[in-house]
Amino acid sequence: MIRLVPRTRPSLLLQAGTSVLAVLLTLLFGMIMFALLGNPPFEVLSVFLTSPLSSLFDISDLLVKAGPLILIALGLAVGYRANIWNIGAEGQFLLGSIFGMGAVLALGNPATFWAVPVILIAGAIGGMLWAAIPAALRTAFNASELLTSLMLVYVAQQLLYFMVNQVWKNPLSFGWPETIELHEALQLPALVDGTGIHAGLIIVVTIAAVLAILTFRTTFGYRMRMAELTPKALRFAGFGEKATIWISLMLSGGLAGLAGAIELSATFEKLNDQFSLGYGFTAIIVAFLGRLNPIGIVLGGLLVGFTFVGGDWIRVSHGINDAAADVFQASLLFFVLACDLITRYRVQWVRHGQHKRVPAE
Amino acid sequence: MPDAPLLELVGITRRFPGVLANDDIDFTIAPGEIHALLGENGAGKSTLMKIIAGLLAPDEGEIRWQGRPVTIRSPIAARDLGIGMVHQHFALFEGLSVAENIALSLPKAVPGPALTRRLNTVAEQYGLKLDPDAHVFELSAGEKQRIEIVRTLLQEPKLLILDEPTSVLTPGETEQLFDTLRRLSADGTAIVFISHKLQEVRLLCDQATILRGGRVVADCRPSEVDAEQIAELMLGDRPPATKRQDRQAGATILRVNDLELARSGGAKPLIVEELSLRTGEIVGVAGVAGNGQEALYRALSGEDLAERPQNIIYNDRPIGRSSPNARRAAGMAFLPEERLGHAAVPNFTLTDNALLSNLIDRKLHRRGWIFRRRLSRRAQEISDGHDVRHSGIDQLASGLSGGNLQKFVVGRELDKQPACLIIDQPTWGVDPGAATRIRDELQRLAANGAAILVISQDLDELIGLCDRLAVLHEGVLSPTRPVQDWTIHALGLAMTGAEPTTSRTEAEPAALRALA
Repeated sequence: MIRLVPRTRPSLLLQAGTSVLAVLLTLLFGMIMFALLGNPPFEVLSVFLTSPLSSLFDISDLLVKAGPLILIALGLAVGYRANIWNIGAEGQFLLGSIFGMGAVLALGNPATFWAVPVILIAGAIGGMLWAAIPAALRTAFNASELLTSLMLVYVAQQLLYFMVNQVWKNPLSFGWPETIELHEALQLPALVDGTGIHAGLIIVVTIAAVLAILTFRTTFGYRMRMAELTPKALRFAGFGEKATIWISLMLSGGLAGLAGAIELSATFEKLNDQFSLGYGFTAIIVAFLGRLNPIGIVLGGLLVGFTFVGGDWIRVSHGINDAAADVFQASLLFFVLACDLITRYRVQWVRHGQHKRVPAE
Repeated sequence: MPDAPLLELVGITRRFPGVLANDDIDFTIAPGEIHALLGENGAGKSTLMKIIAGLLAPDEGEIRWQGRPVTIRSPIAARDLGIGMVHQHFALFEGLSVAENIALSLPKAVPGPALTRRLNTVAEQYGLKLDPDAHVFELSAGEKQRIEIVRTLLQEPKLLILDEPTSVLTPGETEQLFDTLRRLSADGTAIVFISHKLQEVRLLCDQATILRGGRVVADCRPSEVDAEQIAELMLGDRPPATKRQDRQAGATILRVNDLELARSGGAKPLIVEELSLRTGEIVGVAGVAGNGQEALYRALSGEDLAERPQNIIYNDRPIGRSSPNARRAAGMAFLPEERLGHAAVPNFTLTDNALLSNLIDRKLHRRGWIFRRRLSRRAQEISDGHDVRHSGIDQLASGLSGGNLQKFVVGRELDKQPACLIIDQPTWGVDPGAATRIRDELQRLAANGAAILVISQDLDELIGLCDRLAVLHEGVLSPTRPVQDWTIHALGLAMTGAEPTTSRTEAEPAALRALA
C-alpha cells in the first residue's frame, strides 16, 4: 500500500528535478507512441530534439513562439496561485489584438514609431476588459470564472471573424478575411537582422523579472501567494477576497491582451482570421510547467516553444500527423502535473495492515 | 420497559495516541427505547457511536446484538445488522432532487415509481413530509435532515443513531422530529439520541447515559432527575478557581452593544446585547461548540462587519465597520480558533507567516516592499521567545506540531504587545506543556494592562484564567458575571440551555434566569 506524506519543507532542487523527470517521461511516452504509429522512434526523437536548435532560423522561431506563451503564462500564474482559474486567456489575447488594431486604425495607421506604445497599451486594455467580464460575474454572482472565461474565448473568436470579414476588411485583399497591413514604422523592429527575433521579447523578459520581484519581495505578491486555498487567512490578514479576484483577472487579462498586441505588431503585422493559434491555452501548460514561478515560466515557455518547433519538424520529416504531435505535446502537461505530486508529498510504502486507523474527532 | 436488550456494549475501550477516548464503557438499549447519550465535547460520545456504526473498532470489549456477540467491521456490516446513523453534517448532493439523493444511498437500484411509493409510505407512517422532486438546495436544514432520516429508515433499521439532530433545527422542526421519533419508538425502533440540550432529553428520552472523560458516570431516567443534577454529572467536580496573577482592572477599552450578526447554515444569529472589556482583565466566553463562537470572533476581529460602527466601541472610537487591519492599527490583536488555514497559511514558511497579521507594521515593509531580513529576524524572535520548536524558520507551517504552531501564532500576537486581544480556543488540541505556557503568557499580558477576551470550550481553562465569564448559547451571549459568582451547575445549565426543574413552563429565557 502507498501512503502520501506531505513534505514539511519546500525544495527548489526537487521542484527543478521533477520538471526534468516530467520531460524525460514525456520523451519516453513519445517514443512508445511513435513506435506504435510505425515510425522509427529514435530517429523521430533525434529530429525532435536537435532540429529546434540547429539553425538561427529555428532558434528565432522558438523564441518568437515562446514569447507570447511566457507573457500570458506570467499573468495566469498569478491568478492560479490565488486559485482564480482564468482559462480564457486565448479570448483576452484576441481582444488585445483587436484593440491594438483598433488603435492603429483610430490613429490613421501613422508612420511614427511612437504610436507603438499606444497600440500595446490599447491591447492590454482590451484584454483587461475581456477579463473584467468573468471577474464581475464571479464577484457579483459567484459564477465560476473557469466556465465564463472559457466561453468568452468562443465569443472573442467570433468577434475577430466579424471584424476581419466585415468591419475592417481590407478592400484590396482579394476577398481574404484580413485588415490592412500595419505601417512599417508600427512594426516592432527585429533585434537580430534577418530573423523574427523582435523587440517584444525584451518586454517579455522585463515583465518576467518585475513579476519575480513582485511575487517574492512585496506585500502584493505576498497576498497573491497566500490566496491559494486559504480564504480565511486572507481575511485574517485584512485582504479582501473580491479585490484578489479582480487583481488576478486584470493582470492575466492585461498581459494576454498585451501579448495579442505584440503579436499583431511584431509577427502578423495585420489582423486576419488565423490569429487564434491557441497560445492562450498552451500558456496554461507553461504556467504549470514553470511551477507558477516567474523564472520557471520563462524556462517553461522556452521548453514548450522548443516542442512546437520540434513538433513542426517531425511533421515534415516523418509525416507524423498533427493529432499525434499534439498528443505528444499535451502529454507533457500530464506528466508535469503527475510529477508535481512528488514535490509536495513523500511517497511511503506501507505494508498492508500497518496503516493507521481513522482517528477520532 | 421492553425485555431483551437489542444492543449491549460490555467493557468497550478505545485508545488514541495520548487519549483514552472510551474507558470500559457498558451501554444497553432495548427495542423501542429512546436512549440519550450525554456529555461535554470530548467525553467520548462520537467515538462510542462510531464503534457501533462500524466506523471504528474497539480495542477491548464486546458488542452483543440481540444477545449474540458480533464484530462490526464496516458501516455496511452495521447496516446489514440493522443499525442506521444520521450524522450531524448532511451528506447530500445539493444539485440533485430528493428522490435522486435517496436512490443514490440505496444498496440496490430501485425504479423511480417504486421508490416514490416507498418514500410516500415511510413519509406517511412517520410524518416525514418530503417532496421527492424538490432540489436539495431549495430545502431548509430541517427538510434536509428529513432526507437523511428517510434514507436511513428505508433500510428498516432496528437501531437508529442521531448525532445532535436538533442543533440545526427551529423549534417547530424539533417538535416534528420528536413526533417522528416517538412513532418510530412505538413501532419498536430503538433510538440513540446524542445531545447537549438537557431539556430536549428530558422531554424525549426514556433513559440516559452520561459520559465524562471517556467513562460512564451515570445511567438515569432523565424525567426523574433534575436538570441541575444532569449538568453536574456531565461537567463533574471542578477545582475552585486557581490563583490568578495579581492584576487590576482599569477603564473600559472595548464595548459591544446590540450586535446582531447572521450565521451561516441556518443557525440562529449571534446576538450580543452588551459586553465590555476593561484593561487588565480577562473575560471568558464559555459555550458548547457551534453556538456562535466563530461569529463572535469574526465580529470582533472585523472579518465580518457589524451593522453599524457604534455596535463596537474601542477606546471611544466606533469600529463596528472597520477592517481587521484598522482595528490592529488601533492596538487590537486577534487569534482565531483554526490554526492552519486561518491563523497561519499551511504552505507558507514560518517567516512568511510572521507577516500575516503584521501587514500594518512599517518595520516589516514599506510601500509594499517587504524587508526579508527583518521579517526573518522577527520570525526567529517569535520562535525563540515562545519556545517554538522547529527545524528552521524556513519550515512550512503545516509541518509543525499543533502545540508548536499554536505557540508561534500566539507569540506573533503577544509580541505586538496589544492593548486588547481577542483569542478563540487558545489551547485547543495543544499538549499540556504548551497549554500551560500559553495560559501563563495570557496572564502576564493582562497583568501588564491588556484586556483579553478568551473564547473557549474548556471550562477549566476559563475558570483558571478569567475574571469574568459569559456564556454563549444558540448565538445569544449572556451577561458577564465574576467567575466566583458562577456555580458549576449554573454554568452547565446556561451552556446546555436547560431550565431549572422548579419552573418548566417557559422555554428560552429560563437559562438566563437560572443565573440570577
